[in-house]
Amino acid sequence: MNPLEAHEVRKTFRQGQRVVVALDGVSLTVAQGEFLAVMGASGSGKSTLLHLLAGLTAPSSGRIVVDGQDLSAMKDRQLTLFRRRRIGLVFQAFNLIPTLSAAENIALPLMLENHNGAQAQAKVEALLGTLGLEHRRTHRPDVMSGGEQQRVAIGRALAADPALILADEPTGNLDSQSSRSVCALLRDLSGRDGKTIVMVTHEPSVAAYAQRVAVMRDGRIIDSFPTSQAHDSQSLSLRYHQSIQQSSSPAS
Amino acid sequence: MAIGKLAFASFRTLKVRVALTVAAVALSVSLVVAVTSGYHSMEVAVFRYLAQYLGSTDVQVVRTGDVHGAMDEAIVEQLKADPMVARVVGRFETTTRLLDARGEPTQGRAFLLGVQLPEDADVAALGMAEGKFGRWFAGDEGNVAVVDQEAAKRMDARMGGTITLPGINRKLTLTVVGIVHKPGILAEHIQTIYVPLRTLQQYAQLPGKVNRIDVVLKSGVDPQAFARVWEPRLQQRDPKIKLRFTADRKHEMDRNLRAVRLLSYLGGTISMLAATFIVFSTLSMGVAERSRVLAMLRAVGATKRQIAGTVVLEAIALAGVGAAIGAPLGWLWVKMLAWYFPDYFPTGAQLSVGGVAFGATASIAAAVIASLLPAWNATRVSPLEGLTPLGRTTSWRGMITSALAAVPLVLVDPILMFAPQVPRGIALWAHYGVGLPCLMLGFFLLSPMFVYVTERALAGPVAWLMRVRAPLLRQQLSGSAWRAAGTASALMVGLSVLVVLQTQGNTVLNGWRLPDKFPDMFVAATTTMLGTGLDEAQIRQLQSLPDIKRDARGRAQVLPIAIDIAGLVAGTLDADGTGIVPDKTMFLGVDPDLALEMMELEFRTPDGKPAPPAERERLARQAVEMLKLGRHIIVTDEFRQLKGLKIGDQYPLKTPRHGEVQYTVAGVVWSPGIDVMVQMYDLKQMFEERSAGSVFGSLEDARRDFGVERINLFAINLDYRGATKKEVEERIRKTLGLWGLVAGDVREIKNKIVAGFRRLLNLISTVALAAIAVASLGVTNTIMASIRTRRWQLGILRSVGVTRSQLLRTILAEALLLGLVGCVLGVAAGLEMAVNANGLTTKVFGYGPPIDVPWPVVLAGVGIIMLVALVASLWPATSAARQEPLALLQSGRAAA
Repeated sequence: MNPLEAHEVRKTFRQGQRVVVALDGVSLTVAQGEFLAVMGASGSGKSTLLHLLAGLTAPSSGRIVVDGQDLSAMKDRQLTLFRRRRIGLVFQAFNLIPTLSAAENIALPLMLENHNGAQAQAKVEALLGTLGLEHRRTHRPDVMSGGEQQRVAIGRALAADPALILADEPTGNLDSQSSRSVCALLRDLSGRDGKTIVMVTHEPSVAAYAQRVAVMRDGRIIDSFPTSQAHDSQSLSLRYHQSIQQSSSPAS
Repeated sequence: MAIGKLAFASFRTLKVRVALTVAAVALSVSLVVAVTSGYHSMEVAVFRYLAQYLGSTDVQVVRTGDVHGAMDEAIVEQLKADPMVARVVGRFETTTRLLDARGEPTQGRAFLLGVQLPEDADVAALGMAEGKFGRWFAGDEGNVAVVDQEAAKRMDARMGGTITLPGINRKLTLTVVGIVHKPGILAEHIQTIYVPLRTLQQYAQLPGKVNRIDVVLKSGVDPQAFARVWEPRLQQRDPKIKLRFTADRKHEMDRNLRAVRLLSYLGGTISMLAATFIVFSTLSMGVAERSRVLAMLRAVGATKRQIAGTVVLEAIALAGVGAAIGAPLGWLWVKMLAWYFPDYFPTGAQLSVGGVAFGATASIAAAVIASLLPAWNATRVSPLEGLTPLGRTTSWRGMITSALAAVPLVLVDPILMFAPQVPRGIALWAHYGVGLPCLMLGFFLLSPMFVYVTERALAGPVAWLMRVRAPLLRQQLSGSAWRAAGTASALMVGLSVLVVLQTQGNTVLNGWRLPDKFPDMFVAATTTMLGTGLDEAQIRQLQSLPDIKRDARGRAQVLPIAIDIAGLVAGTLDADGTGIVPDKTMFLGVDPDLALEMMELEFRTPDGKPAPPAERERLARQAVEMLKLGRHIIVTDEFRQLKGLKIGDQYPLKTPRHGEVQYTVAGVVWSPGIDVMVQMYDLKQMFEERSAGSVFGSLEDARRDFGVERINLFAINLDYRGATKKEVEERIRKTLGLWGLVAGDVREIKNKIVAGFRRLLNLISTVALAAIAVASLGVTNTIMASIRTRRWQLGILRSVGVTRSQLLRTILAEALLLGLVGCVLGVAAGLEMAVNANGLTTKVFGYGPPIDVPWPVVLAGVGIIMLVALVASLWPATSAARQEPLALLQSGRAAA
């Protein structure tokens, strides 16, 4: 069983009188422990795909199966609990709760599960250690750097030990050093800890940390290739642009 | 122009918030207009009626300070002969109990007017629709009566039917020939029965007597000139005759009504204060949410003045639109009331132009004041602030500065009320004009600190109650403390008013205690028709009744209580022109031994402190012995405090027989309640004086110094023998043949008074509920703003696994916290106001009973606030909870 499967997913929005097709029959499978990067230009539908995979919104048609569970068949409460337990989310803008400390932000999914005991605390402490945030335990987001905030966000995504981690432009608001550090962390989580990760990005240098790249254009996945085919971020960028060009040529 | 565009542009994006704020202002202005116009309508009706009743009379001739007050009718003829006089009419006015159709006495008393028709043109002109409501009787004889609509209702009287009046030796049966319609508000308080003059004179056994003569002077005659001629002449005939000028009476009536008129304005103003805090809260939210826009405006060259102008203009626009909607809405309320209760609005709904002007100007002025702090905050936004990712939270420095500024403000009122240097004459005005506004402003400035402390202390319990995680509630309010402070202050207004009104009321009621041992029954000869009360023979007859209890020595337990009014010598009263403290006291003459045997008065130490039982007994014996010596008095503790007396002090009383006489204080007692009986039976009415408490002297002193020969009030202990009090009362009436006698149980009467007072208190307390209703709009506003500013945060919570129900409960918990802050502020402000009001009472009246907080009522008020907070936040909370996580995240990002 694959931790993530999407079948012919379609999502439309109404914009005034106009119907906008954000996703147009996307199908996708991500294997256990795989680190997938979804690339695409702005408006290609990559963020919408991620939101649908996270169950933050419902598809207009098609099915999304996470960890063997069909998200579209779930009621809101079931879906919320499922998201809390089985899906970890990392946002571009970190999206931490400003009134909670680093440790509390990480512990949030555990708190919501009423896990307050020593086990939960040990888990948070371990995550703080893994993420190099021990010294920031009691600090609130407004006194932390962007890189630290994103690491807290990753810690929160990992707290419930989810089947799937979804990251939406996790380095979009970071400097290059912090960016590299976060990417390395995600790669380790996949390679070392066997976490399944889907990351949306438009930067080839970030996508290079993944195992596979899915390229999106106009709401469809137009190509998919392993990053092993590219030696570095430059050749990955070239490969990405080739995919885009091929899809826009009249023959395609 | 640019300022206007900016101000109104923000309204377009915050339609619901603007609508709620305008609704709060409109509701408060409508309450001001409704209350003032409602009062104005009733006042117009009452004045129109009274103008008709007083007619063109210029001068009234009356006899004061006497039970009977009757004058010889010959005076009328003498006056008629004067060339200055155009018309003279004599009337006989008294009071009577009303009997219902079964002959049972009903509650209250009615005016009984003996009039001569058609000469008494003013009475004849009173509204009575011929045919439907009968006609006036002609002449001055015959057993006929015209009654007002309320008297008719209470006596179950119909046109052509009969009514019965209780009399001295017989009952008087009259045929109802007409029913006049008075303004409902008047009729409810004063019922009137009009009978022919001669009929009433015969019934009262005072033939040829009148007690009011109305004089209409010829055009151009100066009433003062008339008085200069006639006052000496009449006083030579009878020194108790006095002239009263109608202009003075109208002026006095107007002065008395001025306080009520002022209260009608104050009633609505309380709601307006709540609305002001909501305007403040709305503007604060607007400034906080638009900090990026404001920063950008500053960056592109907007001056601080332009930025501040935007906020002030917003305030004026909100209040202006609110007032424009509120004024007609208030008028609509009054119209509806007039339509629903036509009896109270006989002249229809009358718009109070003053009320409309006050409502409109005060709401706009209040909004401008409310905008000052947000405007100042707006000018402090730095052009760089628009670039910061996280919004500003309330700074500690600001919170502490505000709290420090608040401390002296909340101390102003207690200083004014308790500092001996503040003279009594200005205390009342200082309290309302300076103390209370400072107190409200002080608590408002303290409110951010209250927000922080309450959140720290109560977020845990509230989270537990709502089954949400406590950390999620942290800083939800204190993060934007001023926003929460504005709404909490709006909630505070209503609750504090409720607490102070109910505490003051409770304090007064509970300060009034009756002794354990008290007479079973009081019997009073209440009407002037009973002549001078019971004479010796009648008293002996009363004592010999089988229902009367006897003591071990066989003495009947009937305690005659002689009542008169003693004047207080100026200077000793220390009245300084406030016009509030009466300059008379009630003198109650009793047999000292019998009084002590029948009543367990709570004697106090010489300086008014409660005494242990043995000491109390000694003080009682000592007082009785001193009273027997003559020219000694037992005073109530209120009186002792008012005059600063102690046992053994001499105190001068003005007596009718011997002028100023020195009386020695023999004892101090806790208010025993006899004065209540006197009030209830309207015995004081015969003196037409206001009196301060009462003093006890001996029956001998009452006879010697006050000339009391007959007794109007008796305390009786009964030997029931299986009969009810009512049966005993009836037997006394029949045996003595005194139908005008009324009897009652003081506890029963006290309960009735207490129940009536509580009803009045609850009615007045609706002012507080109106303010809470206005504040509820602020709660909705605040919760909506809180959701709006945290939509992305709510989106995160939903995306990391917070369920809809958990989100709903988290928002409701925030509303509960907001309500709790309002409760803490309201109870604290209310209690301080109650303490200050008690200080004011002590300062002005010389006595303030110990404060007694009605905690169940306070708790009910807290419950109402919490319920309002919960209900007012339901809609925004459910709306937020129903949104899907992505929508929250996206709309939050757009708003950021």
